[in-house]
Amino acid sequence: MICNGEIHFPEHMRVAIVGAGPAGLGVARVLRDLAIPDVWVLERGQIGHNILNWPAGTRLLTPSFPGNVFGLTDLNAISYDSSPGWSLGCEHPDGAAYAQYLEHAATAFDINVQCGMDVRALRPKGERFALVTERGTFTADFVIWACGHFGAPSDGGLPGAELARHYGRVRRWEDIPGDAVYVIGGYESGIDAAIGLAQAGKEAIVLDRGAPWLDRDKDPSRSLSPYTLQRLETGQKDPPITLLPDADVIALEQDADGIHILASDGRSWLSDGPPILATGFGSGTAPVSEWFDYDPDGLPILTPQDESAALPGLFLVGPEVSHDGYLFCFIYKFRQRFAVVARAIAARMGVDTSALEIYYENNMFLDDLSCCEDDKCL
Amino acid sequence: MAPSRVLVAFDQRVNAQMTHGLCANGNPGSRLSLQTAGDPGDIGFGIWGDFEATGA
Repeated sequence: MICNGEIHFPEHMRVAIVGAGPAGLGVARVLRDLAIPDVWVLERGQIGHNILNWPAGTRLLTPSFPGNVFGLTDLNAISYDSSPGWSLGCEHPDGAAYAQYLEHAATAFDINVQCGMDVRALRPKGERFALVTERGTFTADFVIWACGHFGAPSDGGLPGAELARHYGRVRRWEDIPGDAVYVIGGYESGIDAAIGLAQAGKEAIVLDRGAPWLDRDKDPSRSLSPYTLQRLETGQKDPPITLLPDADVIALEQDADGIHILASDGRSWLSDGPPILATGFGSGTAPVSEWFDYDPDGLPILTPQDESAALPGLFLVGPEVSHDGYLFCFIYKFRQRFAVVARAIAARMGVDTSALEIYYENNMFLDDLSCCEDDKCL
Repeated sequence: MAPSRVLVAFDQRVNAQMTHGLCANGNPGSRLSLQTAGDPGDIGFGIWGDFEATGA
């Protein structure tokens, strides 16, 4: 049941999932397979809210292909038995298309979703949790935080960042002023920005302190995806995309001539309009940050069940899940942890978990992280 | 008839199941029967599953 407008869920839920993106809906599906009752997904906007806010033209990096019948689940599927590639007829869905897949999945899997419910704070309340929203306070036995970080753009503390526009705030590259646009940061979002600008007829100059476009790390979480490299290869002809390595931008300053982009080695570049900041994203856990501990990289510290080390009963799913330096930041990675969370909750409720066997069979249940030591799981 | 892995196709509103080979009657997971093919252009979502077919 997908509810917009009026509130349809009870004041107390067994499990409250915050965020109706791929992580929230995916873990909800597993809980449904376990027949756990009173599970609700609470979404501040609409299903796929963050994904719908991607810049026009941005697409999923991982390819979708309906290999499900051979046990090779579509890399972008949130369940072992669905395929956005088949449903959408598209290999690299854009934000609108993927959000449509998510909405269809929520309907087909009969997941309870309450839209327009912004959870602003979380408080322990005895054995339960109190979820504070602008529409009242509700309680739950367990909370699964499933908010992606696209909604939390980070400027990395760059002085003068207010003179720029963050990638996460761009909707259409055609709307960016100027014929030549500087992009600060050369990882996925930076290169996506450059390609989007080029497709909008603008020259793009990418500045990065290193040269990530040359990094061929075997972990796709740490290097540009083949899809991006392919787009870059075919997209930097006319107008050109210029990649400037070893450009460590330390500040932005404005005067009558324009915006000066200053580098640590004394170089500077003059921009007519606001540069694009491709400096990453903060944590989607910000509204509940008091209930997580964080490692030096700013990632939440989790138990082996992806539960907050600071507050039992609060779980995390999605792209910020990490263990021992390994990032589960793609859908095909973090979906392998849905069943881990579901099993932990089911065990505490005394619910039979034999229904999870199919998740093992479909490579959707990674509970032995020792394989990560040889990079086999990632 | 032995269960077989099939794809159940739904229309764009995910409230009507369409045919794509074998097709379920009722909710996902229900028993199957062969039906007349619908318009592939209306397909909005699909679910793979091991369902028991009941007729031809």
